[in-house]
Amino acid sequence: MAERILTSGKSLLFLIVLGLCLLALLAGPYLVAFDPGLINLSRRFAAPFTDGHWLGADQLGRDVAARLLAGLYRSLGTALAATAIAFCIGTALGLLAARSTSLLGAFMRQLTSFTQSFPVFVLAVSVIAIVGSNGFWSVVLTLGLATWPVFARVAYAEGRSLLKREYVLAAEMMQMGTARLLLRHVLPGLVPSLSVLVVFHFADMIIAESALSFLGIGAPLGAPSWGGMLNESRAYMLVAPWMLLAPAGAIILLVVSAHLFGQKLREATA
Amino acid sequence: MTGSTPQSPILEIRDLCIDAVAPGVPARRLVEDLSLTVAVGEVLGIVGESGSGKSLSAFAVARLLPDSIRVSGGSVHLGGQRIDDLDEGAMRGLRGGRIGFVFQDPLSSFNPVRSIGSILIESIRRHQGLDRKAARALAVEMLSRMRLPARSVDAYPHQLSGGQRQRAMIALALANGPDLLIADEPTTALDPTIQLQILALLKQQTADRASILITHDFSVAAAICDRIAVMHRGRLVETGLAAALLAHPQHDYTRDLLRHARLGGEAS
Amino acid sequence: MVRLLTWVRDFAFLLVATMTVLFFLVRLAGDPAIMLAGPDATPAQLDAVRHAYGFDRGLFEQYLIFALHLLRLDFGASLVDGTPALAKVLETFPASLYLAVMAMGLNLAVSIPVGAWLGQAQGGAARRVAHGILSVMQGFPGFVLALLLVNVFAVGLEWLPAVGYAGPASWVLPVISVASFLAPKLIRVIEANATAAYRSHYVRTAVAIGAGPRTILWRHVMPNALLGAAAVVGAEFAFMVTGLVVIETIFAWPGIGWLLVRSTLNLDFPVVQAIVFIIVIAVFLTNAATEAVQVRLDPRLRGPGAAGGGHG
Ligand SMILES: Nc1ncnc2c1ncn2[C@@H]1O[C@H](COP(=O)(O)OP(=O)(O)OP(=O)(O)O)[C@@H](O)[C@H]1O
Ligand SMILES: [Mg+2]
Repeated sequence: MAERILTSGKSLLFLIVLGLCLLALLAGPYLVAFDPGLINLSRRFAAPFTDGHWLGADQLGRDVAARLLAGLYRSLGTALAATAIAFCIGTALGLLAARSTSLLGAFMRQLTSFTQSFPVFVLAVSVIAIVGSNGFWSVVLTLGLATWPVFARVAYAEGRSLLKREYVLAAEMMQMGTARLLLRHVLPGLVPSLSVLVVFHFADMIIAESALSFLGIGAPLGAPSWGGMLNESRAYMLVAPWMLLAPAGAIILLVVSAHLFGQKLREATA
Repeated sequence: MTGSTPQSPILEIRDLCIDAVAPGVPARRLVEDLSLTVAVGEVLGIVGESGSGKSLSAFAVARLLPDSIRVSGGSVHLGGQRIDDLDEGAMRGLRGGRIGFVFQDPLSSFNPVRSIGSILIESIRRHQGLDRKAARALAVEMLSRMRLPARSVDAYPHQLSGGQRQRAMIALALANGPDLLIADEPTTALDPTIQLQILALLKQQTADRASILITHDFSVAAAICDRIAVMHRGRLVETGLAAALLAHPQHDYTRDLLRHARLGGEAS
Repeated sequence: MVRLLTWVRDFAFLLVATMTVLFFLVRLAGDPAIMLAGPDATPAQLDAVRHAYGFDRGLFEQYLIFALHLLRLDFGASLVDGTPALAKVLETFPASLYLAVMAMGLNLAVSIPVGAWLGQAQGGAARRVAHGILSVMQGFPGFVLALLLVNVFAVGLEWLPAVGYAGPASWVLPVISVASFLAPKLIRVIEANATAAYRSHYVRTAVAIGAGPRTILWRHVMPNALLGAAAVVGAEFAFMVTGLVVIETIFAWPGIGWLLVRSTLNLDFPVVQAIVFIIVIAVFLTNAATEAVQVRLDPRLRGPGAAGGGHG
């Protein structure tokens, strides 16, 4: 099955994009000769492929490719860390709630049904507003802590139906501890749907991170981030369209390919 | 009503062949060289095990088949007129007009979000061109002929019992006075006591038209059919008057079926 | 009656929970007095601010005061211009509502016919192309699309204004931007529902009474398909707030999302609290309205009514 998933066109695109990202992360410093923060006013709006600026330069003469690369670190880092946090908290709480029929279960159901309809991004923006920090980790934590119900909902629903299955009942009769029961017998059954969710969540987190830094709420002002680059590009769309197209292309490529991969994965595991 | 002398047939099926077609796969024959006739006032029972092609053969008369199934040979005549080569528009005029259908599962066969009456009215207006008010009056009359209260015209399928839904289904099939009534296992989804009521109701409606009753239950066939056709693996095994066929089955397969039916009957 | 009670209970729970979490986040995040008085205020000035805002009292006491004010819908004054926070938020609400309603209208106007068309049959080159576009659109980040649209139609071709809230021309790009991330999902749902309906027994019945393809589509298939999509439409309506935050900022559309971003950047937390309050209510009402509409439209949810009763 893995072979079938990985050799489809949609997945291939994602794998190629991931490979490119990896290549950029590893070899980037050798390909891009500039420091992402280096200001050089004599090179303002340098066009792509001039003076060693592969993707041109921005309004302060900073190298767009270098900033794009630095933004890649931030985007990937934020998305991976936030997804990991949301995954761990959500799966753990969802499974525990599925196991316990009492108060925790009822509370979880309430909470996930509310957060299902609550615009999480609004919450993230207001929390960051209040916490007032511009650091990497405050964004990661906020996104992770605000979005875990996505995983909790699925872990709860599927965990419950798995717990009713016979082999789980058998394990239960052998008086396995809750933790071992959940980890050994229930979690493996959730792998297909949770892995689909992880892929989509990763894509959502890339968008959320860039949207936050676009609004000036995520990354600190001036720090290289894709959202920040998009924001700065708006004043110069006519003179330097590459300032828009480079980060827009990067976000679209990463997010759309992840989404296509997620769709493929979902079809294959359904 | 029973034992009516066979007049000129209303329905005549000659050498009907039906194939399953799928892209990239050779066509698979599902029904082979089937020939049947049904006369006015006659009830023909089609009996056979599951998958023997009973439903496909009956649905093929009005080209009511899924896209993956094709009629690949033979002819169908209704009232002396060839209908298997009619264009789609003309065929639509026959469906629900001169040919009425009763399906097996009345719950899934009624649209869950439309009232029983709205489906009836749609059919009546389409085929008789009545205005809304007259069509509604006729719908109520059809329902009451099936012993359903007038208010069931505004009921939704889930609000009726299984037996009531099947009565409504029969009302729908008969709404435009069809020449041919095709009932595909109309009682399989119902309780045994209600089955008898429905069969009796159906029998009352067969006087001035040709009827086909599909069933895998010989006792049902024996109860209301004049003639019985036995199908096996897409072929007609034997056909004859109901009493004669049940008393003296000619074919091994029919004998097997009958023996199983009796064993099943005794066991239960 | 019981439904109403659970409804009210859920609503109260959600409001209290959100506002409590928000309150403690504000107070735990740091010294709001520093935000208020500015980083280079003297200790005396800070004390004065603390006293004026009641920050020198115990946390629990502060919470009680906050809760009491909340009961009177008093969120305090905006730290930026001193106007009441809630009034300021309510002023921007209609603009967001217009945008949301227009975007939803466009969404429905596109999704229903396209979903119906895709649901009718499988195969064909045009459908394959449409599926490809939909697959890509489903993952497309809405605000990036908005920026690209601005770049092409406002900056490049100069057909439409890039920002603002004056006249139909300025509505086009924001409405398209919001609708573009709603439509792919709705189209998919309608298509799936329609495809399932075409395979159903009740459509076979419709064929058996002589209905033509148009009647079958619009009177037998789509009522079911759309009813199944009503929940998605409601969820999209609630979810739209998320998109509005960024889209409104891009187009300087004076709505609640735009205000949220500005208040956030200004650390104007009374306004932020009021915005969250309003959004919680709006989302909750949207969900309730969705449910009510579903019950109205779907006879199965209305419970037994004009049943025949009696003989079976
Ligand atoms: N859509 C389809 N595509 C391919 N094959 C089909 C399709 N529908 C039916 N068949 C095949 O056609 C054969 C006859 O089907 P049919 O429905 O006529 O059987 P039947 O005699 O009515 O059986 P039952 O008593 O179960 O209703 C079966 O073997 C079935 O597998
Ligand atoms: Mg059948």
